Amino acid sequence: MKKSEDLNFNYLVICEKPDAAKRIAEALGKYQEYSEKGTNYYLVKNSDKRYIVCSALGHLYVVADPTNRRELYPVLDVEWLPIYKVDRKKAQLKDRIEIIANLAKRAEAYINACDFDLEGETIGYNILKYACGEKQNLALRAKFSTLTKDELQEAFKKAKVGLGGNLAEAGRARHILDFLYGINLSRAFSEAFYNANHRYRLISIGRVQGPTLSFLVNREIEIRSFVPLPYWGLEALVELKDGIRVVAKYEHDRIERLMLAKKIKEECEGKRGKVEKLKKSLINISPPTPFNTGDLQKEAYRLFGFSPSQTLSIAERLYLDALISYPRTSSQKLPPSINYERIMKSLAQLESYREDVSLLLKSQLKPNEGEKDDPAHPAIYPTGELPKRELDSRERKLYDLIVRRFFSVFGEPALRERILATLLVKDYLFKLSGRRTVKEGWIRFYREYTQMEDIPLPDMKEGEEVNFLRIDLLEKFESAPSRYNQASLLDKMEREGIGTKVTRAEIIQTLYERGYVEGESINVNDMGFSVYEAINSYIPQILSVEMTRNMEEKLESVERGKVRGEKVIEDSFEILLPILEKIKEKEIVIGQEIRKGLINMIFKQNLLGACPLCKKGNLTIIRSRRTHKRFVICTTKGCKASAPLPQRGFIKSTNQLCQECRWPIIYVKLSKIPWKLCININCPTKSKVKEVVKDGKV
Amino acid sequence: MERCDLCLKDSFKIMELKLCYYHSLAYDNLFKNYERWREAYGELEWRDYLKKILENDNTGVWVKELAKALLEREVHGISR
Repeated sequence: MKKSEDLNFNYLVICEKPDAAKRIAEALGKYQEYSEKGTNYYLVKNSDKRYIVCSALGHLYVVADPTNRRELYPVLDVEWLPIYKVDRKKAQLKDRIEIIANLAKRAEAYINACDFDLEGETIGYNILKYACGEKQNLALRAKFSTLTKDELQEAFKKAKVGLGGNLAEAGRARHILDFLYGINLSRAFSEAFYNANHRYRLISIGRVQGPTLSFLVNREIEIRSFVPLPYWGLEALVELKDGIRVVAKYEHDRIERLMLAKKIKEECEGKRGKVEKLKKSLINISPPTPFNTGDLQKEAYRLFGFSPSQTLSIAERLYLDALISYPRTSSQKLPPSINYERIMKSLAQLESYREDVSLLLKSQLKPNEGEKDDPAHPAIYPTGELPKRELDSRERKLYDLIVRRFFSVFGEPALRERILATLLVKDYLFKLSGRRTVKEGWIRFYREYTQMEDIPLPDMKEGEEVNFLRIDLLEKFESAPSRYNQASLLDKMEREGIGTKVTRAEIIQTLYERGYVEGESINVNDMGFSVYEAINSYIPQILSVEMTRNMEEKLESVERGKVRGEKVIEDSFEILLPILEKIKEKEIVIGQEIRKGLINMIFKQNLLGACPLCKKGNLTIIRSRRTHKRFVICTTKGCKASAPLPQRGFIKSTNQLCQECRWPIIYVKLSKIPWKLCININCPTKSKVKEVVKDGKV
Repeated sequence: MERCDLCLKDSFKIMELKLCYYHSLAYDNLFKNYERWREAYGELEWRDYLKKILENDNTGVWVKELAKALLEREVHGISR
């Protein structure tokens, strides 16, 4: 195999990921694959031009504190450093950077072919600046939204200098700003924890993390302090003229007084009434809009339970296989230049889409677009390329969702009929409502993913007599607001204008990883509460949506070229430094407050359930000071309940009781396979096992 | 500062109870809504109200903790 020194080429093409590099090489022409120290690159001979297509592996350069001393803050001077110098786990990227740098020395020109957005532009810019030796302003930019051959060839034909606009500056400014906030606030809080408790613990908080945690805590407070109000509903079993029985509801869904509900029931039950009015109305339901990142994440969560970050990572794989367009976009628009008809005809090669395509192609193709736009990319759409490998079940689901959504946006509006029958008995009105689809329109293409059931109503005429056979009085209670899930939290962040389409999912993930929140329906734990309380009591600006939103707006101005990135960073010091001063001033109380939360959380995690002996206290895990071994005791003074525990592995409560002895069952995870265990050493189930072993049956 | 009667947080005194900020929110809601419950049912003793609140699946956990403590201590009537 040839070495890079022996290769002759004109252009060095920088891609973001190895899969993208391969696909670009394939699109540019006949290629040869080279590999050095685990880094692949491709030599492409294309008539008069010779390209080397190489790739990064995400960010190769990151913002870092050159002092790297975790106890020092404020950090105001930062540097872009190769990632392997900052993160030991990325040591293998040193070779990749060196290989790119070597190739760069031999290149005549450079093409940035990273993803066309803030992150991609930042990745490409940094490689061109640091690895290629200040070539960032000379490099051509190839702009594309899909990795299909035609679009890539077109993008390389049209590649030119400066096509990226101010994206790189805005991306780099965002990275620096997020780093400055993250590193300084986290160091200040971790230092406060250390100085108050003489123990180190990473207390992380950031520019967007703060307001996001605040949304969750405020919702949690509402739920936990919620008092439901009672109300009543009335449902009548009504016999129509033909003997058909239906259930009608009282005209008001909510009756606030029990007395009134009872009175209506007494007056109407067993009485004759009549059909007072029949009203039919038609409702036009417009097709959905094309997917942008947020819409796709929400829909995939609703339908398949994928978390936003999972959805993005699956979509990324589909994009790298050239099956869908770039999945990080705010746009809800599909320009005609993508060639709707070509895509559909190509998808028709797949049996499952054939019928839908033939129906769609019978009329003019005009998508129902949303309002949101993105200058860099259109909405997410299938490219029309067919899968060349077998997709896994998650990829298949997401791909099918994207294809069917794409079809549905070209569908005609659906027409639904709503029939409302009003029944009069005494002076009271009851209602019966039915719905049916008159014209399916776009629903036909998105049927699997919509819930529009038909509720038929029997035939009846105005003035017709009916019998109110029975009336049920239903006691109901208000419900507390529901907890955020990952999709609804993402939606909230989007509506409040904090984070970006890429960072929102990451921030939610960070809140989980830092141990502030738990569960699918997001529940803030004691640690999350105490971090929130410490911040809210002393530096509430960190939780402020306004502060974060203002900063987002400034960063968007950098993108539009209205303000320089350096100016935004400089301005941010005016906000950051006073915050850090306040934290320093109050560090002991802040540290103590966070510790209380931590203790509460550990205390609750160690609780296994009610004590079966004294029936007053709780069984809890403790560790002996002398032997350091863990075991279970009861929290009630004098209670003799105790149990040994496995000394290795992770233990948590299952909230289940043993069917035989009513002691708690715990979950133990030591190796890959976890197991459940009744903690009672005298549990009859264990003596049965002992007997079996004794009898030599095992 | 003393601890909340219902959790480990710092507290302040409300009537004869020592409650943290969150349990005091629950306390406010519990008392504020008693009148509305009474109007809704026509007649409802304080103790029965607490029992209903405690049994209700939609009640917030802090309110339940408080209702349970109030029932156990039988401070109802006095604390109102």
